[in-house]
Amino acid sequence: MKQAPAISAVDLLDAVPLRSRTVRGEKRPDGGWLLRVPLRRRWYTRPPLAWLMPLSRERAISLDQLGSEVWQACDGRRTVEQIVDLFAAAHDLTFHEARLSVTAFLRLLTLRGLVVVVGRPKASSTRPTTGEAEAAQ
Amino acid sequence: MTGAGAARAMGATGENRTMEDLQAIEWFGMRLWVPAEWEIASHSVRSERGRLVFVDRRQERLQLSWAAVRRPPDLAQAIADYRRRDSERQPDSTFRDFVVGRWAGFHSTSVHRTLTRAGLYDGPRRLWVEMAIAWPDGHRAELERAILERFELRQPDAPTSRWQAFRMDVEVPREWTIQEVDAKPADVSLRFASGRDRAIVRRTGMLEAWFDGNLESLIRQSLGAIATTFRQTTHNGHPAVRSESRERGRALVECFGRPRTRSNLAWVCPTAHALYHVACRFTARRPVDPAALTVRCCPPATDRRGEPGGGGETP
Repeated sequence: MKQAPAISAVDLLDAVPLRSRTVRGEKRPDGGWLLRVPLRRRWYTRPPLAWLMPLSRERAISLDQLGSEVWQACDGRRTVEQIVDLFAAAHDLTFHEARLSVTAFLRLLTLRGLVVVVGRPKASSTRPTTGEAEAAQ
Repeated sequence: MTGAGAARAMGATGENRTMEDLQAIEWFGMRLWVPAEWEIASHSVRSERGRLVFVDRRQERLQLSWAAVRRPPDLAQAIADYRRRDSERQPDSTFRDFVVGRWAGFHSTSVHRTLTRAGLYDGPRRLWVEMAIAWPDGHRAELERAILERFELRQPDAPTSRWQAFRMDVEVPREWTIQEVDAKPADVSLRFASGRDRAIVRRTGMLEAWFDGNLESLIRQSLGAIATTFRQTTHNGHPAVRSESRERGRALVECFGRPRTRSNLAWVCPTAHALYHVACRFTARRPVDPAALTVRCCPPATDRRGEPGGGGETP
């Protein structure tokens, strides 16, 4: 399978997370969400084996309140940066504190097939850094 | 929500901010003011040589580096060396020298970047300090001047040292040296040592996600199975819990009267939306009061209670 190109932390901020259409979500009374993801149907999940071993056709993933906030913010319009801003404002975090938490959680959602992060690769540009100053020392 | 938080929510960018949005950072007696949205991405806890790197949302913006030196460096030579190296890296660079206060440096401008480099030597501390500031969106002379002019160095014989970074503001007696800074999202701890005594100051945020409001239970968890006495107090105007406990040492330690004592102080600051926990571990002969480590969580208590003090404990 062709590997998707790696996205830098900076480009990730401009990317837009999209929820998978196949995921069904239910809001729980405690404020969290219960997400149900359909599983790929393998040969052993079809009859006649399925008659003998009834396997679940979907996987349930429970999100706590913090995870639910990020999940709900992934509306297909907001960029990762905007979601980070929302999360930072809601929990009185700095931008980079929120960025680390939100991007780690988005990575988890992506690995579980709940979210796809769509980014437009930018032309590489020379960013001035003071690190160049250090390298020159 | 803090002012910075509100600004973030409104989508304010670094370039349209006013000078009032600068935040103070103090590290190893070096005090500087940088825009509020510049955060520390890398830090050192070595006094002889180290650096602090600040980033904005997208890139590195400022690097402050320091090195203890035996004799005053040749400032003109250092600047000339930097210019030569910069011109090798960016042949189209143009340079303009400047002097701001005690700083001497130059601006380097090329098609790809604009950079400010400056250095100063502090005689009393025998410290060589360098600053490099990147200007990805164009040079901002006013901000540059503010950063350089407001830079201060604490005198080496000052009775206390202050650590103001990662949204922490801690002032400790001079003999307490910093050992480690662990900065995780919403969880920052500073470890200090003075001889065999240890102190940890920790700030934890996002309380609604994990904290049930029971400070005693929190302290008890951190101590384990040690007999502890608790008492209610206030710190900086906030309800606080203080604990004293004595570790059971080995027989010889108990015999010679050198068992360790632990003293804890914890409180929640509703203004900062954070929990502060000061934990001290010391020998009984030399007690350490957690309240002696001044931890400022929010504007001084005078603003709220109409009485002097800030960071202090009241019984």
